[in-house]
Amino acid sequence: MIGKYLTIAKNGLWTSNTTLVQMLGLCPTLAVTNSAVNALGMGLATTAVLTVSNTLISAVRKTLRPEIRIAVFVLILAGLVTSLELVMEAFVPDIYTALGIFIPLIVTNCIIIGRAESFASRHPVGESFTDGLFTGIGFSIVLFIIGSIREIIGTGHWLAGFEQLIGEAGKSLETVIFSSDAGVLIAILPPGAFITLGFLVALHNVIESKQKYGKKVITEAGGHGCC
Amino acid sequence: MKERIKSGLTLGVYALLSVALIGVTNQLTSGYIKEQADRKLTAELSAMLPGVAFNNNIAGTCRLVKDSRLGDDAFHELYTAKKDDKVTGFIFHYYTHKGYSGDIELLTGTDRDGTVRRVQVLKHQETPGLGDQVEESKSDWLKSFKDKNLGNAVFKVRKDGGDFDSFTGATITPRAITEAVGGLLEFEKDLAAPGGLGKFETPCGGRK
Repeated sequence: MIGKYLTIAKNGLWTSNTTLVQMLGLCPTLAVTNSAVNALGMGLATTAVLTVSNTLISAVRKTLRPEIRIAVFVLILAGLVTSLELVMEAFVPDIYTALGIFIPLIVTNCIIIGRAESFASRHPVGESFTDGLFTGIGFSIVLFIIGSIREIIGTGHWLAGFEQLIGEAGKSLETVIFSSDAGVLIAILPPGAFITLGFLVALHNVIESKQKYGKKVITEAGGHGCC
Repeated sequence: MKERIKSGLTLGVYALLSVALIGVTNQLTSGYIKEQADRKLTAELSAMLPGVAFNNNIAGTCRLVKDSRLGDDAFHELYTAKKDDKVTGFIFHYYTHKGYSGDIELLTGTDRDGTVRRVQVLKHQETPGLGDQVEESKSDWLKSFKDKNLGNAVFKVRKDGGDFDSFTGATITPRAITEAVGGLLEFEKDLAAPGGLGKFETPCGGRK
């Protein structure tokens, strides 16, 4: 029983990580990872929506007729995301401002509609909740890593502006790794996102193929890329 | 036919539920959102006029002004700084519609003579990483307005023959803000003239 949940968790975090393997949700992945705090904010917002939407959709899955299934997913998601937007504006206004247009765009994030369609609408509530949570965490971790790498290379600092997320205590988390004059601007511009993501996908592939075949075999990235 | 009606009804029920969720969340959060905005405004206002002496309660002086040089025909908010009942500066709270993505909400403080003290962006949806350089926390660009007036600067970006820089990869955002500030200074001349302020007596009646 517990094994099933472990598999789901491992799938979300690693084996079929949405970003590194399925190549879903690339738009926010590339757009808001210019700093660690923005990336983490986006990751957490998406995780919240994904967990709730997966649970809700799974709970109502038997009432849904196939022809209106997708429309209902979108309605549920739109309601959740709009509510999340209001909550963020009320309690973390700086993150809300920084993420801007990308919060409402969570509605069209392929990860969420993808998990709803391929998992939540076919599995019981507990499993769907686990799937949503761990898929979200896997997404957040990857975003946070990309954001950190880009921020460090681009500005020399790490975790700048963390007080926007967790209050005043976050100020002390900012770490200066090297002087910001030496930052490589391209890392925080859009190309930096593609390059960083490319390296992470390659790393994931290397580790996976080593495990599978016991020697270094580089496979192609399996995804097709999407919103 | 019956099947279709069933589908339609189901969809309708979910639409209602979804709207209800948003309505409830809005009710629960609107107080906090207003509080956050007010807190932000009070803090911003008191910091908008560096070097200008005043001793009145600026936040309580809000009045509505309307002038095409502020970018549109809508009402905007004006706060007046006074020292011993003499006007020493103005703070304008207004919008420009010329941004890249939605309106940019601006706060601009000027002294009585029409010299910019500080420009600040309160709210925007410009592209993260490019247009958001207009935030003071991300770059010093807004500081280039300090001490500028219509006499010592042309309020356009360099690309258009003016005196203000634009950013790598983003021209629209700085252009929108620069032109908005320039228009505002034209309007400020009228306000600072004798009787200029008297034309606008409508109090704001709570912040939007």
